[in-house]
Amino acid sequence: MIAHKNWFRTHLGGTRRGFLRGVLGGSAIALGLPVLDVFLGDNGVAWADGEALPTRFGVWFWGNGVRPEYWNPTGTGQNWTPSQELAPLAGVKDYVSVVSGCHIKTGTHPHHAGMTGIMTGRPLYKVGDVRDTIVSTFAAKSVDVLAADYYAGTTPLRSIEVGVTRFRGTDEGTTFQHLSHNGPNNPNPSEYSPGALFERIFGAPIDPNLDFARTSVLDAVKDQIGGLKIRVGARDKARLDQHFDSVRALELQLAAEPTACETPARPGEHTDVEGREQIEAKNSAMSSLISLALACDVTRVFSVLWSTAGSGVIVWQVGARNSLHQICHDEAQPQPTVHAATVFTMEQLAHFLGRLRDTPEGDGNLLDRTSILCTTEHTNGWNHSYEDFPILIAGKGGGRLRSGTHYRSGTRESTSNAVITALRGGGVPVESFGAEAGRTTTSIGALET
Amino acid sequence: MLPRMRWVCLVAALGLCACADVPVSTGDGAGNNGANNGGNNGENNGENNGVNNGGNNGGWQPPPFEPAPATLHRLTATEYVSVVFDLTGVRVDPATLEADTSLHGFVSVAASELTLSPLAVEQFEDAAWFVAGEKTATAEVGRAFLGCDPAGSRDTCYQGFVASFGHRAWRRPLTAPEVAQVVSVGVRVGDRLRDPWQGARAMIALLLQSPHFVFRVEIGEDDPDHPGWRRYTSREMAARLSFLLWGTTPDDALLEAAERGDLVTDEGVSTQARRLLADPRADAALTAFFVEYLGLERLDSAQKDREIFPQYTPSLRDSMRREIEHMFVAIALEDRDFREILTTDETWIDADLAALYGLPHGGEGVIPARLDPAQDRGGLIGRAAMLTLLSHATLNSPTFRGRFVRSRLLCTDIPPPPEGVVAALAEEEGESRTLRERLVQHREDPACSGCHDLMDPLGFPLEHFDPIGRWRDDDNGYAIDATGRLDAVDIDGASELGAAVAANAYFTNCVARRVYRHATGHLEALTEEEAINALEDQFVSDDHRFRSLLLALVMSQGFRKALGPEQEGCGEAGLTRPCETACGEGAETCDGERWGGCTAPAPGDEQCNGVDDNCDGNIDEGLTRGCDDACGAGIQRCDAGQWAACEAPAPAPEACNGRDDDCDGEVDEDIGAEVQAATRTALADRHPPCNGNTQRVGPDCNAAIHRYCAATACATSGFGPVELGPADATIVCLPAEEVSAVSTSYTELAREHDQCNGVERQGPNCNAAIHRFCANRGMTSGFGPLENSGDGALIACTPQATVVHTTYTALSQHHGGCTAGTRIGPDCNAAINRFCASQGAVSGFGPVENIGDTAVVTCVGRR
Repeated sequence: MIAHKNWFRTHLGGTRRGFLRGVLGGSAIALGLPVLDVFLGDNGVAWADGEALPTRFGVWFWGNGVRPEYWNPTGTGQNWTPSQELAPLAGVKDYVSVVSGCHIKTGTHPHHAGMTGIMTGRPLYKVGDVRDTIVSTFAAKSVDVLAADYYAGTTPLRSIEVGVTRFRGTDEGTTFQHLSHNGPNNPNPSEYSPGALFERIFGAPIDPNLDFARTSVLDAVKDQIGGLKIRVGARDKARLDQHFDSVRALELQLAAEPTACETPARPGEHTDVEGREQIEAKNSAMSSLISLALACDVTRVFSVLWSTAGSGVIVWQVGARNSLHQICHDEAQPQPTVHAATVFTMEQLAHFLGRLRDTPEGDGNLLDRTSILCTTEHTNGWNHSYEDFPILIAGKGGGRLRSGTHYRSGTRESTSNAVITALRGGGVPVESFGAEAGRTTTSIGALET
Repeated sequence: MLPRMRWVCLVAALGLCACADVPVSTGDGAGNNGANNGGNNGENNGENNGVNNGGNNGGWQPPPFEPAPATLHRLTATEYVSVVFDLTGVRVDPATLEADTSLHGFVSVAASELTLSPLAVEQFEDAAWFVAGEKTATAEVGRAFLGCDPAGSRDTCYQGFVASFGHRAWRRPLTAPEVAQVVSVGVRVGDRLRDPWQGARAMIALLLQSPHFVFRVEIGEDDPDHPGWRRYTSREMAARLSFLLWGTTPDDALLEAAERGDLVTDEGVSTQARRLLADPRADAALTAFFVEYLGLERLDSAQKDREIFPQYTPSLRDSMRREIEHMFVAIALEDRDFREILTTDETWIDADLAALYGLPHGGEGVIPARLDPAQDRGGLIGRAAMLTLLSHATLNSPTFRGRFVRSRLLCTDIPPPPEGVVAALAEEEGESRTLRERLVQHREDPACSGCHDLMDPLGFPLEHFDPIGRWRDDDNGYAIDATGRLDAVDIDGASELGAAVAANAYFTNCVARRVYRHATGHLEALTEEEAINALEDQFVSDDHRFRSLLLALVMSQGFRKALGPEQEGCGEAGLTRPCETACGEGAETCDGERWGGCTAPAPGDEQCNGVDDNCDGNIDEGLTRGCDDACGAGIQRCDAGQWAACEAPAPAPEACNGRDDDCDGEVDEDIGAEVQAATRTALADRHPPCNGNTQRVGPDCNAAIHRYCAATACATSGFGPVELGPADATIVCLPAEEVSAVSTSYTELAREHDQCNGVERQGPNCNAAIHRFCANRGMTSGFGPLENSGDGALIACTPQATVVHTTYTALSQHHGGCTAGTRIGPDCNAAINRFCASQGAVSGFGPVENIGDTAVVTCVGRR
């Protein structure tokens, strides 16, 4: 395979990384400390050439909701006590805000409406004409893609999409399969293989000659797409437009600045052992790769599909023997296995957040300059409720977010208010988010500085 | 909130709960909350009226055949790997490509709905350069692949290679400008890098990334046999045949037939299809179809509890799947009666599967054998792969198993559970019982039984098999009752179940239907029913030979004909272009489908306002208007921006207002369908739950509108809301000549459409049932229910209405919110109202039937 990431090539010019190269004579900087203090200004929050350290935005999503009676913390503002299910986050509590009391306002169809409601602020987009199930996709860009649009061109990769637990297959449309969407039926599939994600982030170096050839070929491909477009109908034209955008994004990757990171060791795949998914190991490998990608400024946007909507993951670590989706429906109240699986999920989230917090950058760490929307598809898998939706916003967003706060809405706000807060916290200055009853222009002031 | 039936369904061992709708609008205040019609967000989930039932419902006949529009098909990951190998001999690792998405049961459908994701574009680029590198790795390899040496006469070599390899890769000859473009990239790269091999490599990478390669471009040409349609060209047919029957790109013989123009003739298609079907490559492609048809690819992710089922290993799973593939090859591809797949006792076992089935096995390899009759497995349905796929990790699921038989094998729709259903597990009392007994609530609770009666009785005959398909004598120590029922046929055990399905006419229709969907790569529309039924007939008359079915399919109009592309779009959303009107310059923006309006002031109709509205340089030129004064005809003239006094009276159309508007001496006579704006309060006065706030549509509002209209002097009933305002709703009242309220029952309605059965009381199925009920009684069409009481329903028939076949594409022009995704609800009410008005009617309702893009609506009144 040819290498397809080229930010190791010699890149001269006035950029900060060009500066880096000049100082180091072309040798790469050891990983783990991608931004050496010597390259930062005295205050530690900007590069020596004055460019501020980047802010990032991410989504961390899990399926099947929570057990609400064990989820909401007691106390509000800065004085709150983690609930049983939030207890695993105690170690990063100062970095985590809890948003409670918000609702999905854009429909009630089980799984579908919650997934699309939280991620797009819009109703689901129904596909095709079938009766025996609902087939849906996203009506519009998901929140992470809004951020990727904003940051496009600043980093080699627009975004990275990561899956942790295995997708178990349903035929209910892209809503059930994918988290990140560019629009209807146009998902950004998650990468489930640590090795493949590694390749994507740290592909081997290539030479400028090949860059020239690739760019020439991509230009010609774009011309061919343009020629084909005039011969097809509106629907196919839209598909070709999406294709064109993807080719253009690839060109932008080629043109992006090189980063100053050295390739780390390739991670293992963590395949099943005796039929059991190695969830913790895979979560850990993926968490590390995302941290590296952010630290090296390979991307500023990520999404983690820890488990899909209605996920059939078997959380054997807590004694589950059947799919979590099934247990959500079958288990007698108060559903101890579902509760334990939620606690387990939050432990995995805590591991990820801890990895970001433990990666230093400038005068702080990655979590200081990241905003992460952590959420799920419904409140409660037992009855698919969308009331009092579980939402966390992690990270300080480069000082934009007042983290460590429990905000409880007393006015049945839309979940979109929390989503736009997280998005603006990630440095993305959107005017609004969502549509119809899910549209908002208002972020949650209590969570902002 | 209004009272709402609490849903308590035993959900142990099933993924579904009741499928009936929220119960009962009594029309007197105790009704439901109309939630299913309350939004335009695509959550109304009923449709597909009677289509999947494979038979006629209430005398319903499909509309005349019309082909589907031509679309681009992206290469799936599986196809990509095969195609690249066939073209170059290079194997691309499938793990480096994103997994294929399936829609409506088939990857081929997703391939014509989705495009390449941004990630796939990267992956295909990677793969293209990898292949290009392999084929130019050494000068010797390169010369063999190019057929010439670019280090010699470079440009000639480039041109010859691009023409010949391009033809194979793009499945058609390249035009001269296309060859020139590719060659120019090779020349540019070769010059810059001072290496003609680098140029050749770039050309290979370009040909393999071209949209003409990664998409199967099918556009069609004018069909000489049927003006207005297209037929797939001979070249396009070559690709369609090859990808369907071989799962890969056409071979040279097929490309030659394509160039001769053979593949637009029956004989040419038949000759090539027979050749392809006789080739072993067809076995693999058709077996892959069957695996997809069964949903068997999901077996890979079917996990079982390892303490209960330690023998369940990935290799056993492979053995299970292999057995099914062997069965398919032996029956379908050996030209036996395809239905034998449901009844045969042949098996193909390795040692693992032999142990599971309790059969002897010598040790190595896969051997054919006969099942142990004592285990009563029968054909497909009783085999380990299916039983494993259709169970939970620890428990059987008669519901999954029955649902599979119903929906996959018989193509009968089973609606999803209703929104907001609380699927609570019934607490177990006393001794644990058999699973069948624990599922009793599915049958006894009417909220559940409506759907579960369709499924569970087809799963119980399989209760002798555990979650990995092993025979078991008892369940939990209790005797197993393996009786069930398929419609009128009583069944005991798996063999009888298989035989009953094989004998059911829906099965053959279902196989034909799914083959059609897979082969054409789209969800079939109502207008394709005729083609599917014809296919079924051919399948039956050819003694259920699977290959005959495929042959009939590729010969059919559905596979060979297309409609032209839809109206031209404008490109990307957000694209802008300058524009001008008579009034000045501006810009317009593309919404992804079409150009929005020009921002420049539009020339308007000249109005009496002292302004040059139509931008023709004159102000208020020659303006007059009719007026009515004491019911005499006359006109008004515009004078300096003001209307002068009316010069004569004029009659007005008679309205229901107690006045003689048309001055004919009669009051309120001959009032036709009348559009009225009713205030929120006025409707709530008639039926309080229709409060205009939380409820604006649905049964309670049906009742409110009916009563509101009936209370006016000139109308008997009405429907709506056809438009919704902040404080009012536009409704349509109908006089006695145009509407008859008819008392009927859901028992009666279910005869018209079996899903409008009283548990389901509203939505598309009931629209269809009411429509058919009225139509079958000579009253054209109808709407409702107006009122409900127990099994009884009051509906409205519209004897003078006009039933119009249209499309969601057309409806969405009238209201953008009414699309094939929305299907029903307030936006569609508005769209239908406006559509009917544009047709010269007063208003309309519907959809009374719908499938795919097709919507049948009923228009009322004449302007």
